[in-house]
Amino acid sequence: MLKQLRFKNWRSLRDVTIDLSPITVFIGANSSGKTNIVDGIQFMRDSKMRGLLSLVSEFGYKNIQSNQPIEDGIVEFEFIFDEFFTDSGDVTDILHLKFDGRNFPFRYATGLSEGGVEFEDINTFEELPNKINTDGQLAQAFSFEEHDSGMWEAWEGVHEQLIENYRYRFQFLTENFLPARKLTGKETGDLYIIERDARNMVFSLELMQDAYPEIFEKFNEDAQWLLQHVQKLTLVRNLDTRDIELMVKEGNNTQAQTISVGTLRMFAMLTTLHALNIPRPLTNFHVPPNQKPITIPLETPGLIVIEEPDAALNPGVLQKFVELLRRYVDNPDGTRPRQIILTTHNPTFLNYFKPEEVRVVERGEDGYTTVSHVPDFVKENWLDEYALGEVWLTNLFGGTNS
Amino acid sequence: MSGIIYLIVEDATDCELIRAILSAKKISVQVKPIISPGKTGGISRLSSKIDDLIRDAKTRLKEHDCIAVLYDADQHTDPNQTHQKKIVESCKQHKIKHIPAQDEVEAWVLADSGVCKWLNQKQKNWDEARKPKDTLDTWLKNNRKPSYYSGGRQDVLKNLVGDGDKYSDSMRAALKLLEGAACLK
Repeated sequence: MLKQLRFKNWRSLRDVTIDLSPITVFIGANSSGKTNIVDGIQFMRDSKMRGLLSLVSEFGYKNIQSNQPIEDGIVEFEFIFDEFFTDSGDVTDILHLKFDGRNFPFRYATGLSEGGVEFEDINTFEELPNKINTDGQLAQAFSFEEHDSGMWEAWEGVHEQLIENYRYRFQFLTENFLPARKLTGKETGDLYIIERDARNMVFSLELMQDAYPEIFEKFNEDAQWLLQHVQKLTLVRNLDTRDIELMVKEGNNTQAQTISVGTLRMFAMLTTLHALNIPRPLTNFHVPPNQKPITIPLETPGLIVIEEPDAALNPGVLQKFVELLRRYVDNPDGTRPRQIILTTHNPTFLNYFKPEEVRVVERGEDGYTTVSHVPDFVKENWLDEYALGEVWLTNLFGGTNS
Repeated sequence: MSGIIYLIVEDATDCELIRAILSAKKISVQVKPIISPGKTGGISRLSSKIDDLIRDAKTRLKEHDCIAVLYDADQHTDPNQTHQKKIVESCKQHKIKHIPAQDEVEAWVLADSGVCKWLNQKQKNWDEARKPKDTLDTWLKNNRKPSYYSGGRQDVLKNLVGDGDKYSDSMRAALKLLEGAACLK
């Protein structure tokens, strides 16, 4: 599980530590910093996938740093993982970005510590290579050949496993995600990781349908349970044009002419859950020819981050959706467990969560974001009589627009 | 340095109104509502939860912040004043300022010269009037403006100049109470 996040000088998060649960729901007013948290997790993930230079270029270096000039000019990310490695303690993954003023070029440092042992000096900053390496700038930066001690070998294994997890076990859906029902044969997209806008959902569903029918059947079961009007989804590909289209058979055994926004968004959320069950070929990254490729253990959780999952959905469906999420988090059927991070503004949706799963995001007068737990008094004094969403609206623990 | 007033209210709109009045009077202070939970019940709901609301609102206080309770006196509709008495008693016990509005907080709006001018009315004291909210709504309708209950409230707040205390005794008393509060010092 991703156990803790720490951001320093990242946008509105000046120095914020956030404990995560198997399900974590961020609530807060508009512009409180919820998206900055989600983007921060994605930035860390993408730094392992695409290379820092292209990533910083895409975000824009001004959009990475705090709202106000930073004294030491260092943007810091520290993520603590637990239970990723059966015989390891907590693993802390660190990325520091040092900007010279607010201009390129910047320098970076990475680090990893396990059980309190640091494997790299985080205070040593490297110049960022001036070429964009599509295979991952960070990956290139590590040079294992220089180190032959047992410690470095261990670190290499941990690091590779961490990168595989970031790359293949993290799914993001942002606030305005809306999957395309139909894509042309010319379009491409990842089969395993759903893009933030869910555009490529149909590719992943087609793979499930054609190659992993048991996963697709489970997907259909969940869709039927959540959305009573849905009977079965089918992906149809035109063999001439290669266009692909999602078809939905409804309860009255007819093909739906249109699919509502809420239904499509629910399909996208279900796809992120099920896509993590598709066995995927792993890269042979840094694996000597005489060794087996490192694989992600089956028990490794997948992380799913969804902004505003409640948008365009009926409250009754939301309640069932939360029930479904709990089933995947608790992992009763032996599938890979999931960790879920959500953001919401919706008090009705909030009613379905436990106070200990909720984090309150607020922005102070100074423009900086704070993140806190729901105070104990809510459970002790209010929840016997009122639902959590109702207590939230009192403004007793903040995170509202009032 | 001013702090935050956590204003315990029946409804978030009451807090909005106070914010607009203070802003019109150029009193620089943040007002955040603590709203009685549940959807119905008004003053009875507020009085039944007042002790819990005060106790838990205190957990939010930082230096220079303060808590006050604003409630409608409802002297015409509730002659026994059961709920109001309970609120006063709790406020005294917790040493919290309590602000009764006669008979609803909208009486302070009716006494405002900006609103009166905008709605072609004469400025006077409305503290003893029944249902000032309904009176305000009638004024708006007579001037072909949107109803106070459906979109007109925002226009009313924009026209406030914050001088209702010249006529309204209850507003004057409320401002005096707030001026003495730690969050405005």
